[in-house]
Amino acid sequence: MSQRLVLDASTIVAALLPDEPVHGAALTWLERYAAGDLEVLAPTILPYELASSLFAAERRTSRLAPADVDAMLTDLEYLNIELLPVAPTLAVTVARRCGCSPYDAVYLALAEQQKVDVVTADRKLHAAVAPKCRRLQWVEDSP
Amino acid sequence: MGVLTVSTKEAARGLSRLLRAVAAGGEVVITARGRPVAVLGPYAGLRRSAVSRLLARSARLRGLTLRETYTEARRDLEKRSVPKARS
Repeated sequence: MSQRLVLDASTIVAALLPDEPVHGAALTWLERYAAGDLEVLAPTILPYELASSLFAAERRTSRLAPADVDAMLTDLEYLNIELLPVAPTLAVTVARRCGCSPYDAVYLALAEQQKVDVVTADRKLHAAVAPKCRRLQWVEDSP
Repeated sequence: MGVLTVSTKEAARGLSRLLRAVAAGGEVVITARGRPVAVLGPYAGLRRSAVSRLLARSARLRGLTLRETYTEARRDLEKRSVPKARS
């Protein structure tokens, strides 16, 4: 059976940014998912984080037209990442324990609930939280 | 496995059989009033082509890193929603 894990928004966004330092590692995760070699789950907040990241990019560069952002968001939906709800109380409980925001904690809570790892490309989050949450994995650490 | 063409009525009646045909590598064209209107095909190909299109478009994101995209989007959100720690 293929490996099951949570990819956070930073990992998926990094896979779409050719000049991001961890692009190559993030892309490997996305390609493994495309090849059917990985089962990916995420909390229901993921599509909105992807939307706001691409919207931020649209504001930054004129090369990225609104139609490009719309097309990319549609293609991200075609990935059919399994989206699961996480109770807000659980997110807050994990946020208190790990010292992160509830937005980050949603991913950690889902990973704990599903007994899988969560991959992040968010360096600050990883530095701050990895010592307190053993399920948080750095994007460049291969499984 | 080739292309199978079926009417709407046949598709509705025999969807499980058509899904087995797709799983075996085929594609099914569904017609309505004799005209082809839809294709039933393997999902795996759709995911792979979505990834290819995403990567082709990602060239437009050259020069940007997580800092200007993901981190900035998070900052926009969190500066409004996370209260300062109580003293």
